[in-house]
Amino acid sequence: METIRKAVIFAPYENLQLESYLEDLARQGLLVERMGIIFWEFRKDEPRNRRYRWVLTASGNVSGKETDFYEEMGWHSLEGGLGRPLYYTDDETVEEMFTDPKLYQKRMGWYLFWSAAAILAYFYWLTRIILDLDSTGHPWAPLHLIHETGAITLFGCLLSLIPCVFLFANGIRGYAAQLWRIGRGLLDHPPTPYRGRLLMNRIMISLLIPGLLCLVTGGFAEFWIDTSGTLNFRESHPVSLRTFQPEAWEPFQKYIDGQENSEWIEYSVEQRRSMLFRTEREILSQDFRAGHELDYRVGYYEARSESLAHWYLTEEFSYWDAAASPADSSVPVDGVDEAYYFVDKNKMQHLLLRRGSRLELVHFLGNKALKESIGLFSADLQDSPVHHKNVK
Amino acid sequence: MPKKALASLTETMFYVLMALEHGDMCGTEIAAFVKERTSGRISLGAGTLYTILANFLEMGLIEKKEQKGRKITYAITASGKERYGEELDRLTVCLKDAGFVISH
Repeated sequence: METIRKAVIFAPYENLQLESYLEDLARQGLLVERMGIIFWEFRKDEPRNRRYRWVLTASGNVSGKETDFYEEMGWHSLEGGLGRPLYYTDDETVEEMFTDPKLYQKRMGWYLFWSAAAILAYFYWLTRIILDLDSTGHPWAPLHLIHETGAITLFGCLLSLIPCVFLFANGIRGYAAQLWRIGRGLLDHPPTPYRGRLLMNRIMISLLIPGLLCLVTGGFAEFWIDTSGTLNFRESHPVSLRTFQPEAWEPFQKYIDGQENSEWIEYSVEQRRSMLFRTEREILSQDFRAGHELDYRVGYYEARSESLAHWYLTEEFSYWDAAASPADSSVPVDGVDEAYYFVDKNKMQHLLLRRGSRLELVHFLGNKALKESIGLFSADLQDSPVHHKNVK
Repeated sequence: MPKKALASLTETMFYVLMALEHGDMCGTEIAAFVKERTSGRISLGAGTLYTILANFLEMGLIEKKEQKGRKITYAITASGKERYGEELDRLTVCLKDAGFVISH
């Protein structure tokens, strides 16, 4: 049996277009053999006037009992398709699927409700960065990726943004048209132009898939992209705990020497990571040590631009303490463009420094005044690389 | 929360109950009966009929009598007969009122 594959891409609100397309193919002797997610299989056979009907449901599925009923009534189901219950008949005496407008309107109520909810959720996901409804967490929406420093993920962001916006706008139009038809009790399935729609959908999917691949690739960039050549301060590293508070370092050192102490943990790493999410940065190096009475974290970052670095800096306020503000926390520090110091409600001290596109962010919970060591941290942001002795 | 009772049956629903009041039937038989009784005026699509039968089953107006493979035969219940009778009475009164208006 000879089969060919075709990309069949229609949204749920394009059911009339899908039906018309498949019926045209049936008149040319191409009958659906199996539905795929994008690619469908068609077998070559005698041309015929076949009717296809896409049964729309809120859940996207039709129960086995319902399908059995349709089979008894002369409609045959097709396999596959992932949430696309499609039926066909070659018998012109078989009645249309739905013949009572009021009952159909009742049945479609939940479908349209969930479709509208999905559209609204999609709109929120696309635009939350503009609406600035959430400044923390990992929103993972295309627009957030404009802050991506990696070229591949920036490209992926732009590539996938176009179909996202198109799909949203088209979805609004499509569901509105469907709502209009259902509201007027229109149950007919007129021949509907589909070529333009199918072409646009194919183009959009062609942009979306590589775009998403770029984004995923960029998300794992740290594992395979060697970006050491792009670092300006390859050898820079933040002030370690040992330098900042030697007396706190000693008990920690005991832990390092092998004595078990589950209250202490250490996380020290030098790495290059791409900024994939809004709250992630390009980390050049960081030091993190914590214990039951001590929490010491310092990170040295490079943003893609000064404005981005400033933006990430201001994000720290809402992340740690919504009550603190840049205006109230500013401190004068030589050699840096911005410097802030505040203590949050959990008594953790925060020192935030920016010079150009570079950031040094220090968070300390302990018995030493962080403000007295500002010079130690601001030195890290100068042009020349700074080497701190005895850094682990 | 109990399902809201049907206030009055739609024409399509009434004819489906009529078919089952006439005798136990499967889906295709119900559709054929209704089409014949109404001289083609009312057509029952598979989706419409399934929705009506599912509602009636849930409300206890009909029950599954027999199943042979895919084919299920339905029968009207006592509740269904009662509901059908109520609807028939309502329509009879409507017809009578309409006849009064016409004659006057």
